[in-house]
Amino acid sequence: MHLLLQSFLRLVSVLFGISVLVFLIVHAIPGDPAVIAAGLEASPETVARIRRDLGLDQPLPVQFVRFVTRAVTGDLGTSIRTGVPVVSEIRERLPHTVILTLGGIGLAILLGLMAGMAAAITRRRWVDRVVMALTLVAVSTPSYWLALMGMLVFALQLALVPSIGVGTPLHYLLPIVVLGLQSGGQVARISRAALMETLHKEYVRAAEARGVGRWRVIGRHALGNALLPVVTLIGLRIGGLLAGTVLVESVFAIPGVGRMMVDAVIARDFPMVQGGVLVVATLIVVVNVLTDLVGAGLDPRVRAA
Amino acid sequence: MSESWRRLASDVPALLALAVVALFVGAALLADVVAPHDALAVDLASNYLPASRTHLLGTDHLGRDTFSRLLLGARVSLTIALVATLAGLLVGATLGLIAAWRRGAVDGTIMQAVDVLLSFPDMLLAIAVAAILGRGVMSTIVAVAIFSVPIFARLVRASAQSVVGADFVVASRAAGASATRILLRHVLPQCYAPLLAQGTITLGSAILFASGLSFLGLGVQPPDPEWGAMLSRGRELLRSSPLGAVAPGVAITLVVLSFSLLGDGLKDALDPRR
Repeated sequence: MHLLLQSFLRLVSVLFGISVLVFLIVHAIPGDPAVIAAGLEASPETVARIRRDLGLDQPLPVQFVRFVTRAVTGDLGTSIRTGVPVVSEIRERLPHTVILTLGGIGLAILLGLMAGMAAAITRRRWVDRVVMALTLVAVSTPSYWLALMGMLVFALQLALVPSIGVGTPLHYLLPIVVLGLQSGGQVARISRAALMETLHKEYVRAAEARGVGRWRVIGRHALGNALLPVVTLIGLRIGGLLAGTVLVESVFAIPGVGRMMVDAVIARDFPMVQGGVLVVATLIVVVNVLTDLVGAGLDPRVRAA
Repeated sequence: MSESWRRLASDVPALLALAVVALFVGAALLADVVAPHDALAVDLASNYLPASRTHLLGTDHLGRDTFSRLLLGARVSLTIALVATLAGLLVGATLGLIAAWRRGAVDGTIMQAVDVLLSFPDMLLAIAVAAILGRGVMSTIVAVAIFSVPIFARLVRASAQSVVGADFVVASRAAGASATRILLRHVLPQCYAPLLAQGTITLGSAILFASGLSFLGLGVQPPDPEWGAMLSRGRELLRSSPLGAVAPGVAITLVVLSFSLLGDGLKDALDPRR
């Protein structure tokens, strides 16, 4: 119960921090944000309208309170460029980003755990070396370049998958594989380290000494404990994976939230930037807290505390 | 120290990595001398040329020589990474020193803020910074510097904590040395080794992240050559000049990989306890 309360307080404080930051996006801009948003050739009327829409004619604390109350009730303002409510734009785009992120995480766990286990458990050193070398390359390769190379080979030359856009499940395959490979490298490194450490623990060696089979030792005794850092990593990786998602959405022209935010920055569409960052950051923080709780559930020491 | 160098000298992957880093630093320094063509010279009549003797890696959509742009791109990428890493190191180290020295509430507040920063997704931070400062090199450097602050702060705090209570620090304090003097003369030098190793690793991730921002159009702006920006025409580039799409990615991967191998090597060489 104590843990739940603690998580809740952390959630609230981080969300408050995020909303201040997002609010400041518009106010930290050097110069008049209304003029910058409207563009150099805009008429004074347009500038005045944008200033009113952004609420810039009010005192700062009033603006902040209004920003937060509106956001809580699901009103993130309207796009300066298109006039579409930010919330409906995000609602339309979020599913694409969520599919990519969940698919990427799922594949990363699958590949990463298998590779990490192979590296930690094998008695042949070369397997470990090859896995470690591959994971190092995976985390050093730019995801957008990996995406382009995948597109070059599997979409343009072999024509196995469509190259860009959305529509069929097949459209998501290549982007998910790219994201999964990249994050899988990190999962592999962490799970290898965690497994190796657990395999040297006394209870594991005691089990081995009692004559318990190797795979049984790993499955029953080592894996459960090695999973804890992996769960923690996944919580932390959600944010990192998002960076990959933004880049991969760009390569494959997937109309997700990531590309939306980048386009909004380029078009100086501030409500859109604010709304995107607020929603995505909130989702990430919630996932972080959830993985913390799952991690705590896996760890009897934390559970007891 | 010589002991450390001997350890590093026997670390083959780290040495190879050092050679690759040296090669790219050389390319960055000598880009204008070595480059066979003017990296910015537009020649629309000869765009998307395949690789040849005159254009080793072909040309891009504006007929600019890809190989020359790759060389000059090394300078752009390495400079951004170096400036951002140093800025992050400076701020992070200062925060870490203050936290270790003052302890108590100051320490708590600083480390709490650092933790919040660490949990904030770097891409969202970069997007927010680009929205505030506008697109370009400056906002890329600021974003990369900001998210490298936490790791340096934690590192310096941890190293500094182990010496602030040591006899020689207590003695110089008793002798009337100021806090600044003690921190700079006695405490900070204890952090050099881990900072060098971590700084090297951070350089790699800074290059990786900054190139991504340029790829998105938020970082380095045309016509300046940057490895990520060179790939921003994505599909068009793949269809007309696959080699031009392969080369910048290989360069990024090689450099990032080398910095991280070199950083790991330094970590092991400088800290024999590991």
